[in-house]
Amino acid sequence: MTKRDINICVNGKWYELAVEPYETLLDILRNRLGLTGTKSGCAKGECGACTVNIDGKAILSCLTLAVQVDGKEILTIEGLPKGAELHPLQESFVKHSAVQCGYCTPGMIMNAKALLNHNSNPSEKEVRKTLSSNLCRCTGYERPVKAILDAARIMRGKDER
Amino acid sequence: MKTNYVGKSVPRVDALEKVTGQAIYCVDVELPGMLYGAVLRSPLAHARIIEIDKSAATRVPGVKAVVTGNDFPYTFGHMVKDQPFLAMDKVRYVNEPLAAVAADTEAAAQEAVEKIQVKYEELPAVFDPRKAAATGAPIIHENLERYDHSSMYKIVPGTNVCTHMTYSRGDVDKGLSEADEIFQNEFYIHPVAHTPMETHAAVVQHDPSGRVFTVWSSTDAPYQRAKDLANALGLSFNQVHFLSTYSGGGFGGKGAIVAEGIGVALARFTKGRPVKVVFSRQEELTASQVRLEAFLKLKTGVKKDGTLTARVAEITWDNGAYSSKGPEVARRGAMTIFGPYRTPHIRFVSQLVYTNKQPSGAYRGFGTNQVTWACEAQMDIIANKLGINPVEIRLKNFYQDGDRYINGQVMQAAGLRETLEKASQEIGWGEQYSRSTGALVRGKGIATTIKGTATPTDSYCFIKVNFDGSITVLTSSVEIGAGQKTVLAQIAADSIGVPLDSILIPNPDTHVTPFDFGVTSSRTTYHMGNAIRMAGQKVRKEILEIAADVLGANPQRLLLCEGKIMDKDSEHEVSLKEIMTKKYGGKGGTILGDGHYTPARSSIINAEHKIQWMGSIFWMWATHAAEVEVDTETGVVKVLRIAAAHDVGRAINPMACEQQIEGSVIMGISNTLFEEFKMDRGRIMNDTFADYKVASMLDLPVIVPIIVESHHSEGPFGAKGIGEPALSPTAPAIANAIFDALGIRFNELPITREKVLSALRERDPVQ
Amino acid sequence: MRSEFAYASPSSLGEALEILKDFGERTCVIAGGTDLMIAIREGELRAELLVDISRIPELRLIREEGNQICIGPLVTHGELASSGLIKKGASVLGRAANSVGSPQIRNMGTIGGNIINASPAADTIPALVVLEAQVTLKKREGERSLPITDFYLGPYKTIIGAQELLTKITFAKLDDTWKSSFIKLARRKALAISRINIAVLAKMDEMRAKEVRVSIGSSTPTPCRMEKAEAVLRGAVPSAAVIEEASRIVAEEMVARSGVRPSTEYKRPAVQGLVKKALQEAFNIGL
Repeated sequence: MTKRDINICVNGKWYELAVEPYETLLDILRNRLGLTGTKSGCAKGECGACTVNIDGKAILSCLTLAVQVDGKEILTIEGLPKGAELHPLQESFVKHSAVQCGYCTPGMIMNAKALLNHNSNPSEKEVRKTLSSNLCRCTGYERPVKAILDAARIMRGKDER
Repeated sequence: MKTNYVGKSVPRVDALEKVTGQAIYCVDVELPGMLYGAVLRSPLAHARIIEIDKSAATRVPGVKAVVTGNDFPYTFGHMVKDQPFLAMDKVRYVNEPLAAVAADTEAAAQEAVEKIQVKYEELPAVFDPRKAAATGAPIIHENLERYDHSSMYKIVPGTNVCTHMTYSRGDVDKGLSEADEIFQNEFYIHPVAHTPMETHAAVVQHDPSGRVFTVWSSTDAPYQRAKDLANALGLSFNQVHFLSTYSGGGFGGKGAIVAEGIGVALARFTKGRPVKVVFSRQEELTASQVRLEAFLKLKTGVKKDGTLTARVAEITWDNGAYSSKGPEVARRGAMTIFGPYRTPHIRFVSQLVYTNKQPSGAYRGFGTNQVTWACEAQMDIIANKLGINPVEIRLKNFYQDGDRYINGQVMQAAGLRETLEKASQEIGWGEQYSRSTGALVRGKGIATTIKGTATPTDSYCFIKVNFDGSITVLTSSVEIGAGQKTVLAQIAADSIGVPLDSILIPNPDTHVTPFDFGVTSSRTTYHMGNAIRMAGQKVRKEILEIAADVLGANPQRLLLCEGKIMDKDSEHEVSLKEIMTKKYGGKGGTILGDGHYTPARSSIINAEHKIQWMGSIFWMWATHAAEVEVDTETGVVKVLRIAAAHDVGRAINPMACEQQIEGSVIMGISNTLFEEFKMDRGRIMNDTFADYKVASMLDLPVIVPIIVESHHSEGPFGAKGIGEPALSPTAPAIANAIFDALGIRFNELPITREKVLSALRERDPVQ
Repeated sequence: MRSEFAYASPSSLGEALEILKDFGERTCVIAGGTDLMIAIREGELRAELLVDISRIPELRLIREEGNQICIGPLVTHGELASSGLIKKGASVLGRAANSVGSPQIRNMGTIGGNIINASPAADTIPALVVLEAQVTLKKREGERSLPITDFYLGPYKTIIGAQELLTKITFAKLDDTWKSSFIKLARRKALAISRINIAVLAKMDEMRAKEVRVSIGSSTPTPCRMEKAEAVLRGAVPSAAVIEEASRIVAEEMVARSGVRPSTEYKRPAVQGLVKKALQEAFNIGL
């Protein structure tokens, strides 16, 4: 087996890593970079828990080979706050108690983040459709929807200022 | 009493850690020198193990231990000690663990597992508990009667019957003869998976001196698991040390030794190196545990006016291959088959039967889902036949304050009627509405439930007031996701008189935090809440005495509120921190208060001799009212709206109660309409999220949570519980609504689109 | 993690075809990875060399060539769903792409992967069938183009050779006399692999349907058109009765092609109901 060198930017910081061709981005994030906020729920792309952003789009880190993201910019839940200040989505998830066990939460927030990147004013239906790929057994989904819509509203307000 | 936090929807105290990805779950635990475990699982449902050859596996580079059942020949069991850590003579279900490997990497462990050779002699298997209970069925546990088990559970030697139980009160023959009409119906409820988003996991370390196993786990009851493991291994309790992490969901599924057992077996052989075992989603779906499948027969006598006169119930429960908490689920479930209704003459026969399937165990509701399904569907059948409004027939038979429960306990039933009235009102029960548009037909249904809590069970806690006035609450109540830390912190803050943010509740540690029965049975708010309230009052008293001493004031005239001590006479105010600093100076010190709550001596649970265990220190009442829309061309059932009214006693945190209700309703919809195991000779064929469907955000109806507060006389601030009863009425409410829409009754769960469409075609062959 | 393989990521089509020529049967092509990753994770990947074509820019284009729309295999479902050209000239494909899996999968999964993987449940295939799409397969020595319906041998089986790469998908752009619909019935609304999906195209001449094309996914051994039903609809003025009749015929054709199976009891009436909805939507009646 031959390892390959890749350069990836995670949460604004560049890393040079030697990876096996079979290693996934999820493996790298959790085991090599210690970023355990990104969760594994099924390892088959069926639950959304491992969602991160690549170049601003939501992708599943369990279905992405590390070698395929060479040169890319990756954002994980740990990179979302600006210093000590939470991202509006994180604030909103706290405020609306859109969290129970919290295991699916980072994936949900990262999928919502990508949605808001290209649609600052999504309808409730758009939020539901986009987040329908993030399974959650605790919350009943209602509060995450509200939290995302509210965060979008707050972010629009900030942009206008 | 005026409260600053209790009764308010304060944000969850664990939310910040969870939205930032900082919360540590069991799967996130990393330790120096940690090894990774992998498990060899049985391909057969029932077979004798002739030989296991692990020689090739041990030669795989990086492998540190290969362990089989013979290497670690112990058995465990919470109620019946029937389960080996790793299968020994036989395998009893597909995917039962029979060997495990610990290695430097997951890849090496997996590779070694594939190199273990096993010779089997296949045995006849049985998958239907009714067949398994019949004479001549293959015997799954030959030595059943020799297993250690509590005398509460009656084993039938020489059979597959793990628990047999009968109970009667009154004279059912008399009751049935008094009836104008007798209803006999059969119901079936299917097994479903808990599907916590975090699969079962454990990290286990056996210290090099060999004295203590340390177990990192997200179980719902660290004391119970440590006790079960200590019992299994012949160790003292303090030699099995549980450290709880955050839990990525439980729903009862984390109420058993699952990954922990494999971790312990491996760690015993890794010379002090910790071992991590994380179940794949496939293992979670096929080899953790499931809700008990049940076949229920009801024979109910009713007068023309809808008054119940008698009920005879026969229930056969599927235990799976090992019993987990099956015996108690079958017991408590069976006694709940009479629902929230006064029934003068009753009898039940309940049998829990082993089959060659994945073990069954606790599942949110603990038997109540199964019996509520039958009881509430039959109430609708009765109402329909007698031409009585389903709301009226329930109101007529509901327990009222002072009525006696089936064990003679006097019921506190305030809140029951209100749940029915409010839920049915919210759904517009009895109002005219447009019932069909083209192929779409609408209907409404209701269902009520009763749920007790395991009684008597105990909770203990310590409250530490630190030298700077900050507070640490030491409790073994796990944050399973339902908001335990938040609710307990609210109770602590108001009991002591300090700000919520001065309180910290660390995760349980059985070497430090005192006994708790567990986060099960919707008991935590009530039991641990009471313990914390007691401890809080003790430290509050001591704080005021110290303050009086420091300030030279009369302790009777001092108040503690929001961390400030105020002299009622002088209105002089000092902070708790100042008092503590003055008292303990630079040297430091702690005020320590303990709390122990047990309902054992409460008069509420007085009952007839020897059957006190059937009672409950509090009763939770709930009614769900559902509106559905059925597409008669595709059979798709869409739940439009569910109003869910719950008597919680007092909502310590109304928002947290609503969270429980919302989460349960969607779980109930998912269980009822989507989830179903497809089996082939004991093998679960749909072992992924793509094939085992759970509800998503698009399946969400309008959910209207309604909180009813009946104020329990002994609950902390009047609180009872909420987690479990929120699930059981959903399925029958949906089925009753489908009946209302189509006139077709489904007595078997799940109600898939295939079943709906086929029933429609049977009814209207021309369609 | 038992799959052991080397990895190559050619940056041009020529380079990719060279690699395929040299290593042929020993290779496996990866693009978005959404289907392949599971095989890799479970150690089921048989290939020795994983050829990652995701860095070949020329395979990533959607463009207009005269009257044709030409799509590169690396175009993701998300890109298809949001493309103005597709919305205008082949909206049925856009809607099919938008119904794929989840937003994350739409961002990762490619149309090429959907076609090559040959899952009977693939969402884009019925849409491509009614669009009468051609696929172009290229190897170092040359290329061939064929109708998408000729590409499949059975579930998960296609005629592509080990040295060939799917390089483009083409079909005629539709004008606005064409109406379309795409309907999917999955077990659960989101995230689901199609259980039944239906694509309909209808060219209208005033009130009359001049030409109608119907294809249903996940229900026949290989992707195909429902020709008997199309014949009933051709030239007809769409009415409730005609739609009812056509839906019944589609269900019959589906059963005739797939044979009676355990799922037929449900699928027959469900397909009928769903085709009815799809036709109603395409003809904009009865809604």
